[in-house]
Amino acid sequence: MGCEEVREALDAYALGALTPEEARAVEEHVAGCSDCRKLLDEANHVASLLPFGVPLWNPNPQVRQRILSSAEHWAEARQATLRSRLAKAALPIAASLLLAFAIGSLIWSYSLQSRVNDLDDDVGGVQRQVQFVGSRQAEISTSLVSMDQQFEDYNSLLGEQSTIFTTLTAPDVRTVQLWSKNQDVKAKGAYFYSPQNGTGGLTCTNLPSLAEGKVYHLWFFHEGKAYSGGSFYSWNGVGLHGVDLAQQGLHGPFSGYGVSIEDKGATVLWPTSELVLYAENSR
Amino acid sequence: MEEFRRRQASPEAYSASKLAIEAEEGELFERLLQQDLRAFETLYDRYSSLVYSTALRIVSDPSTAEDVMQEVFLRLWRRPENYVPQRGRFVIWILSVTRNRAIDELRTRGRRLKRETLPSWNVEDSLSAVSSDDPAGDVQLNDERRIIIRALAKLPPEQRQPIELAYFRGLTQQEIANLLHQPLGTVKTRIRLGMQKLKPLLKDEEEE
Ligand SMILES: [Zn+2]
Repeated sequence: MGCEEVREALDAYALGALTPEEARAVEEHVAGCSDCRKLLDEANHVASLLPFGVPLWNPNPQVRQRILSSAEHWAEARQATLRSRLAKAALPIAASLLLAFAIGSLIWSYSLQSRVNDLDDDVGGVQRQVQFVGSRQAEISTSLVSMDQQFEDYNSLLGEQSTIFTTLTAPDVRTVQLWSKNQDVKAKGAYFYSPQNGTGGLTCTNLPSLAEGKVYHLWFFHEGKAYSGGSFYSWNGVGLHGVDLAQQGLHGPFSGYGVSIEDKGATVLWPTSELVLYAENSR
Repeated sequence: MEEFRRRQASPEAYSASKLAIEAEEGELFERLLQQDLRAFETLYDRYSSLVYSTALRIVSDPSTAEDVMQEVFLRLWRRPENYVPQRGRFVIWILSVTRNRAIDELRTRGRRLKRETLPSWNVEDSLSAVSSDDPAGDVQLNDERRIIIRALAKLPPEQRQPIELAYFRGLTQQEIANLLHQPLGTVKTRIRLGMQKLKPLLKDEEEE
């Protein structure tokens, strides 16, 4: 079909009055002819307004009730399915993503630490690592954001992970390694922080398992005082904890960092148990 | 900004109420995506008469028209993302979904209804307004309906009829020619003349 032939058929096309073969010929032509496509848009627009001209009737009010309650039931059923599916899927997903994230950050932190002297040469590599961690973060966000109220704990973790990510991507990020004072405990940790952002984060592995009602607690030490950095849990001995230092009024520098095990929900001003991880800041 | 100035410069073409409705509808639609039942209710109250009347015009049977309407609205509720705001206005979209669904219904129920001539209606009768609980949306829709009904009323019946048979009965030009006992060429010409006449009448009022 040429332009002229197509233009004669456009109005009928818009009204749906062409045979399938004719319609196909018009579609093929407008796919490659912008002038005819523009005319087709106009014809479609006119056709789309025709329903405004029909005599107006009100549907039966009972239909309204029927439709609204169908909608409501459908939404409830969907919520219920979603919730049970999430309950089954969310925990392992969240745990495995957290694990991947924690291990990724840990490896990255260690490699950063070991290359601290020639960091400049390795900026590209570090950036790639950070991008990898960032892409995990997006996955975690997607899966966590879709969860509802009952996953509030995970949502607060997500907030912490954002803090960690912000810290990791800051240009001035610094890292301190934490070790166990006790020879029998194999726990290791890395605390990283960005003075510029006022944020920090901690990743640990091989943490001793927690008794019921206990949490890990992060501490900052300076000039003989201890400052609480909040509490956290672990998955298979891997712990991950973000701290918005600026928001909590914690201003470094600190001379030391530590992790203790405390009662859940208790207000503690000083570690009440032996530190499972500890580091002194040499800087 | 440019668009805003253009709109301000021609207050007749772009009434403030129309802009307000569009903004409000964007917000309603956002809520619909969040499965907000109240937003669904508002959209239902605003458009159910138009959707029902469009379906009724096509299937000519109140209970079938109700079924079509129910399907259109529940599909909107389940898959609100099927409507893409960037492609045009919500009301235009839902009416075209309704039209297509009702035509399908007509086809699956056999050709019986199609063989009947459209019941004629006096276009001026269409102007009688239907009250609804949503005055803001109602004023807007009534304005638009008035414009389109007036434009249709200006068409000679021999041009309006084949256009309606095509759009509201899903007939091809050949089927229309057979039904009206007219040569195919005459039907084609009348459809084109009618559509070309409607174009400027609707363009003045509708933004492109
Ligand atoms: Zn062309």
